[in-house]
Amino acid sequence: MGWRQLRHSKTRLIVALAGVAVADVLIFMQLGIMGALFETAVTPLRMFKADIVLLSPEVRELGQSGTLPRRRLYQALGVEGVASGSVLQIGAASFRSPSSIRQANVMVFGVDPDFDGFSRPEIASQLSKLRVADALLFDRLTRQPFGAVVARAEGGHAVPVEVTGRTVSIVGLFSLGASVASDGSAIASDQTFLRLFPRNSAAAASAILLKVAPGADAETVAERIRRVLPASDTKVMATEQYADYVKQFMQDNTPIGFIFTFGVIVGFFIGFAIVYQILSADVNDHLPEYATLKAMGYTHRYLLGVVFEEAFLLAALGFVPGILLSFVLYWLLGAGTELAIAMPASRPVLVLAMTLAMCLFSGAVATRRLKAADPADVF
Amino acid sequence: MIDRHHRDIAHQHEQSGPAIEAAAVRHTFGSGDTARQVLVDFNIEVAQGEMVLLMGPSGCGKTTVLTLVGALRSLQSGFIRTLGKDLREADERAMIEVRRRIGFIYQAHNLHQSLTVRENIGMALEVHRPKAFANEADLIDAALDDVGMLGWADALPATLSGGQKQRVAIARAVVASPPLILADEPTAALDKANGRQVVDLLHDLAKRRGSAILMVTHDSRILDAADRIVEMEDGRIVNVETRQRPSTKSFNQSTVKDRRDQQACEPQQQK
Repeated sequence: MGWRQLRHSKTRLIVALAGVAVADVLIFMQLGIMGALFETAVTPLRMFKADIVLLSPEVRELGQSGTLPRRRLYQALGVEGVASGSVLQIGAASFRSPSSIRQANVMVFGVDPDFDGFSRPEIASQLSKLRVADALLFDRLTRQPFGAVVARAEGGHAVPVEVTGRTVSIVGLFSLGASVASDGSAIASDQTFLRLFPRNSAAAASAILLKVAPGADAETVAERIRRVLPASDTKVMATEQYADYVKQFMQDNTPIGFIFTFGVIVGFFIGFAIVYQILSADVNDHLPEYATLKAMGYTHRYLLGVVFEEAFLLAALGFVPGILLSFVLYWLLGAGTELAIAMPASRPVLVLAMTLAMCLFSGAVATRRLKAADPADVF
Repeated sequence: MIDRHHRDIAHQHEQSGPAIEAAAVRHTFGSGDTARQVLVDFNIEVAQGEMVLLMGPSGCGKTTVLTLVGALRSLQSGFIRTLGKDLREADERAMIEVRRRIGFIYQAHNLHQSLTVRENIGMALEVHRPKAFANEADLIDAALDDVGMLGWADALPATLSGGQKQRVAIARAVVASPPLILADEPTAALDKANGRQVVDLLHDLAKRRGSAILMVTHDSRILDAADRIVEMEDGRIVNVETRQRPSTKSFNQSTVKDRRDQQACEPQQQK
């Protein structure tokens, strides 16, 4: 009966479905943009081919990774299943363009130039350039004002820039992109890194990247490493686990997480309000008929079932245009902003569950009006 | 098949006691200074197969009688037994069970606009699930045929006239062959011919299927169809007129006039 009642009033049905779809689009967009922003925070991690990351227990995010003893690398290399590894230094520094007084906050990664752990051929092929002292590879997608610097570097010139009061040369470019945490990235040799960040010690590492042997299970190997290394100064995580950890930290500790979560809640309540109005009006319009059903012997539970059936149908039918429209908007937004807005499989499931909750919650509130359907009033 | 089904039901109805027994019923709306007593020591008994008209001025308590007898409202004082069920201590579940055995006809048809005529009538059968009627479609067709609406089975209520809607509502009330039909001004929205047709149908139901019918009406054109006419005023029965030989008694001991009327009309059934 719920479907028949919905279908009977086509205008109301279309408005309700549009309302649910709009609420879903709002939620999808908030989650999509938030996810994309958090993804940028771990984008530098995607440069590396590591399966396991060793970190300080004090790690928060990429720029606040703390340090752990370098010797943990050699201990880890002795664990069965570990094929290779390398120290990674991470630091944030202010880069000043020679043509501007404006500065940019750039994430600098210090690596062994012989490190075979970059997933991007564009970077791996230029690592030998870093053997020269004070040489850097620079992210050409770094936010302004580095347009002129990048243009000169694209021409094959070594371009000097000032980093924390020291002049270094950009000897090559790669593409990574800005993130919520930094305006861009740069890669240096571990020796250059230590000159840029003299407080860092060669005996310490920001992170240690490990690759497991072919056929070995990363989680199994990680568990073996945990048994060997002291938990007091070393945290062992799979790379994806680390990325999730960073994203969760950003969500919990930055305004971004709050703002977009608030947006999701707003979307939820917009949908709730629209569906409630529709269902409430529907119940109100059918009160005499509901009262008649009660007089005929139908139970209150049956009538609740009718309203909840309507709520469920609105959720299910409104979700379809909502997700389709969201796919289109993701594509448009991604093309316009270069944000990598992805639709992980878990997100439609989450939004569908939220839509069902939103509609059923609306239905539950709307059913309060059913109590007004007094069969004695029918006469 | 339908006729045999109805004959069986009629036989069953004849086997049981009065469809309605009410004694010393009092009912008050509101409380404190705004309290208004609408029924005062109301008594009535309606037998199976009997058609009783309840008449009187607006506000005299007729509709309250229907709602109390129909288990739509809780009893405050007195005694009512409807279809053998004592309503004094009936809980919500028991009242729902009683309602399921009653056919209600309202002044407003209250048909579901989104359902076809056939589906609207089917709702009256569906409430009996899981004791579903094996011949549901046949029963609906027969009920529609009885009210002259068989050709409109697949129509939506919005396409019907007021009289047609009322006839569908009547078909809905009678399709399950209930042992009791409570009707509130069923002819109010109908012209003379249609009103007559509806009353004849209800009369036929009472006689052929053995249903008891208690009808509130102001329509003086239909008095001849009644077995008994009960007049009310200020919550009391003030007159009882038996038009045909009654199958049971109706009385009100609250007034001398009532007793005199009953003695005149039903001498053989005096207590």
